Amino acid sequence: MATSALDLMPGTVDILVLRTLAWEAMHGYAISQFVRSRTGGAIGLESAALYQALHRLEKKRLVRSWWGVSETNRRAKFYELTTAGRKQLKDQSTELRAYVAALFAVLDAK
Amino acid sequence: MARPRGIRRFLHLPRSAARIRADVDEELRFDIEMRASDLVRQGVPHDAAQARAVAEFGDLEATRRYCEETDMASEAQISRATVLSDLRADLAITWRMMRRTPAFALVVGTTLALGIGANTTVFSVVKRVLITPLPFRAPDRLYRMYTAPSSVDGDNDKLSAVEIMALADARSLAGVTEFGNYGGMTFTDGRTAEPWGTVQVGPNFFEVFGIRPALGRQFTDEDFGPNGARGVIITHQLWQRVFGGDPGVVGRRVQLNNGDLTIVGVLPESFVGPTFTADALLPLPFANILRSSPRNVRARVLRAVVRTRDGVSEAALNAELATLGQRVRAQYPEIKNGGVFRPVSLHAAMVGNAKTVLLLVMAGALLVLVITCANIAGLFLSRGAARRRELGVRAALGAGRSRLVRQMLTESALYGLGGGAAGIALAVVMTRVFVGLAGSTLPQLGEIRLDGFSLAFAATIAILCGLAVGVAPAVAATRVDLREALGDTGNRGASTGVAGVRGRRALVAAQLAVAVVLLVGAGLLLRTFTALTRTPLGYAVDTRTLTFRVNLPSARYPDTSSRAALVAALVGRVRSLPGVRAVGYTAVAPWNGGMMSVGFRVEGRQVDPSAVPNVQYATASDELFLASSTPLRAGRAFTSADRVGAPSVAIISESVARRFWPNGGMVGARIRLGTGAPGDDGVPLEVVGVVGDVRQTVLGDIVPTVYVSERQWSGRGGEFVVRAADDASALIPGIKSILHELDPELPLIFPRTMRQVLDATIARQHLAMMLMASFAVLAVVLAALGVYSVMAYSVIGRTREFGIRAALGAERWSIVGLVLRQGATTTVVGVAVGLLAAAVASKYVASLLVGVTARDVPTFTLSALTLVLVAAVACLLPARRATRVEPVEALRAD
Repeated sequence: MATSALDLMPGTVDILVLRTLAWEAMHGYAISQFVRSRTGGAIGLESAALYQALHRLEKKRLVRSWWGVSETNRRAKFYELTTAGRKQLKDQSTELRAYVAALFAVLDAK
Repeated sequence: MARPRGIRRFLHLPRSAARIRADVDEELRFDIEMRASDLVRQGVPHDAAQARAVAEFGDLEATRRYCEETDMASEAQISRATVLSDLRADLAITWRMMRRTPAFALVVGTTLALGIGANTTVFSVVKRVLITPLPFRAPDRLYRMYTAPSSVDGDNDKLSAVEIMALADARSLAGVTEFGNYGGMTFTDGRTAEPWGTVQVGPNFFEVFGIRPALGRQFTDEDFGPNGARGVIITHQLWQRVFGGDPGVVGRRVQLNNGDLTIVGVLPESFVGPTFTADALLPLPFANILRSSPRNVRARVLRAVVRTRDGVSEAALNAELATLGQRVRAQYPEIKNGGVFRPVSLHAAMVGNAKTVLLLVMAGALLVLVITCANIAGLFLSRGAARRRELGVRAALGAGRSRLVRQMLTESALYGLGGGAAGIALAVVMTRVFVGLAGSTLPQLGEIRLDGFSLAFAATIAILCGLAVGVAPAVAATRVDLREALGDTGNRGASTGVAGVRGRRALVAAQLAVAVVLLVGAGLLLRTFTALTRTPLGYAVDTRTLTFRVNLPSARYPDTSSRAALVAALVGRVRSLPGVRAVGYTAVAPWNGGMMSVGFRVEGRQVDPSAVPNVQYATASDELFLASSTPLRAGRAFTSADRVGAPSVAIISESVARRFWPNGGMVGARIRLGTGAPGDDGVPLEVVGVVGDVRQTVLGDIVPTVYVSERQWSGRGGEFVVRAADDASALIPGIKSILHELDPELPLIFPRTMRQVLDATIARQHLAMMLMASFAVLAVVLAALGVYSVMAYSVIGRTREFGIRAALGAERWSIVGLVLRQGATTTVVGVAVGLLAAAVASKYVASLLVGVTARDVPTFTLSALTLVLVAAVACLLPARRATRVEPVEALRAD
């Protein structure tokens, strides 16, 4: 497991969480596992940032939560996207893609 | 994995702070433990794995704090939204309930609307009469000046000119204005003639009241000059009625009593007279009175209103008036009870005892509303019992107690608001009807209508009603026992809602108590009213006797012979109308209050010249006593032989006879009538007859009177009395046309039957009695309904018990006894509490009572008995049903 994960730029935690939840409803630990495995460990989502993001998103009604039962049969808090969350994800991804494309255009300039 | 979305939302309950902390803690702990167990699986030793999981988490404490704060903020957000969505849901439920039971909704809504409407109407009147300030500048500094202390409504408000002069010196007063000579003048414009009510006002009138004419000018010094009045100021109402609101009315010359007067001003629309409903103001030449004879200066003929200086307390005013009074008494010892100044706030003086009546009616209306609410609360309670299942289901699905209470309150509040809205609509109509019925008995303080205050009042009581109606069922709803409510035996035994039944019985007892209070109040007023109508006035007050006035203006009837000729012609022709039995006339009729006092001496008896006794005197035509049905007790009435030139004759009333001739011998006695002043021997007359005593009004005392012959003294008439074979009001058109033929410029003033005269004097008592009686009847009916429904409900609840008793051989009467005993407790408690409350409350109406005390035992007893009887009947119907319970059926009922 990679130990030197990239530091995340501000705002990207939220979009990572939203994108992960677009997959399916999951609890916090599953989200961090998912991000880690998807990025091959390149992006390590620090738990402190993850849970703060989840609660912040819930307050904004972009996600909602309920207590369910985990795969290991333990009580766990599950999150899922709301309609508003799905829309937010779509908007922000577009924005982020444009930003990154612009960024690369500069970085790759010869 | 379950996603219980809908239900979770449906059951969403606000999380407490502790709950949020526990949730956050559990969530974060779960993360760390999962991470640690992953590490353990990768071969890290248990303790190290735990430490590494914590370290990898990041700032745990900051995260915990952040999550808790965020959750609490969002919780607050959600609960705000939930309240709204709950309200929407509650309204939807209420609407469904209303549609399912429209009769219930209609009964509750109508009852509330009536109660709120009635209260709003009465409040509008109370507000206008008791609360709205008078339309004068700084009206709280205005006082009516009374003399010897007695009731405000009595005739103790007249001052002499010297007393008014003394008041003008008072340092605590900013101004004094006198007014007097209320009366009527005849307005003629060539085509019609009509009576105007007039009053003379002193030079300071406008300044003291702080008003200005809306049009034209006030009186000037010239108007008060020695040449007499040439100007007249008319009220807005008269301006509208007679002159159609013509803006050019100022400067117009009008004929009043055949004198030429000029309209110099029009009063503002809001103007109300301090004691009178006059159509026009004339100048009162106060300076002329001061210059006239000493007797005039000391005669008590003027009324006064004073304005205190800013900041002068009532105590300071009274103190100075006491000093001034002493000075007046020292200077003018001959004025009887002189120098007694008793200021009464002008508002209180104008309202008089209407205040007590209005507060009584307001209290009555509120009490009826209380009963109505108690009754509706009872309905809700019994329906609440029927809805136990529904509430139970909702509770089982997770609705908390506060949620159920909120739903019940939403429902009752909706009824309250609906009732309130309908009540306001009703009040608009009721106010108009009430003013039409009662307007003349109320102090004329301006137009009564619904305004913002009334609407705010209606809204307030509507909300209070909603809450009052909803609280009991809401509390009962919190006691829902899930097992019992949902179980199959939910509707079974007598145990169903014991608390609810107890609450309902308390409500019924309260209704009975309030009904007793209202019944006692109505009873006392009824006895007062009967006492008033039975008070012997000394003259007939029936529909067979007619009275009217004719004023003969001096300008066109300058001497006795011309006046006598017209009166004789009028009397002769009216006398020959079919159905007329007698026609009499007098200068002053007791029911119009216009008697005058005269010094009375018996010839040959020594009296202290400074203390000549006074009696009232009036003129009488030959047939006056016959026409007014005043009985002749001894001697004879006047006849045509008692003409001018013949010996002067007098007729005395019984009380005069008793006072001066306790041993008889008055017929044929010689008396002298005069001013009573030293040196005035008076005019000699012979007593020829004795007639019954008269009172001015039912509330007044007997007036000792001496009558002199109309023919010998005045020949002018004034007040006419016609006795007819049957309904005398049918004579009015005939009399009108006779008068018109005799002199088209003379109006027939105030033709009324004596019954109408009586009704007008006791209209206020009549109205108060009628309103209280209808409130009491309503209260009794509502209380009876309350008793009936609680008993009927309890009998249904005990069906099984009665069935068992019947099966075991209980007699029918013993089952009836069981039911009655239960009802009797409620009734006895309610009636006893009511009697106590009535005993306390009745002292507030004592001032309205005549011929009956505030603790009148028969009234209290009868009221209590009535309610016990009504309650017994209301119990008997359900009791009869209890005896018809078939044992087999009852036991099989479930």
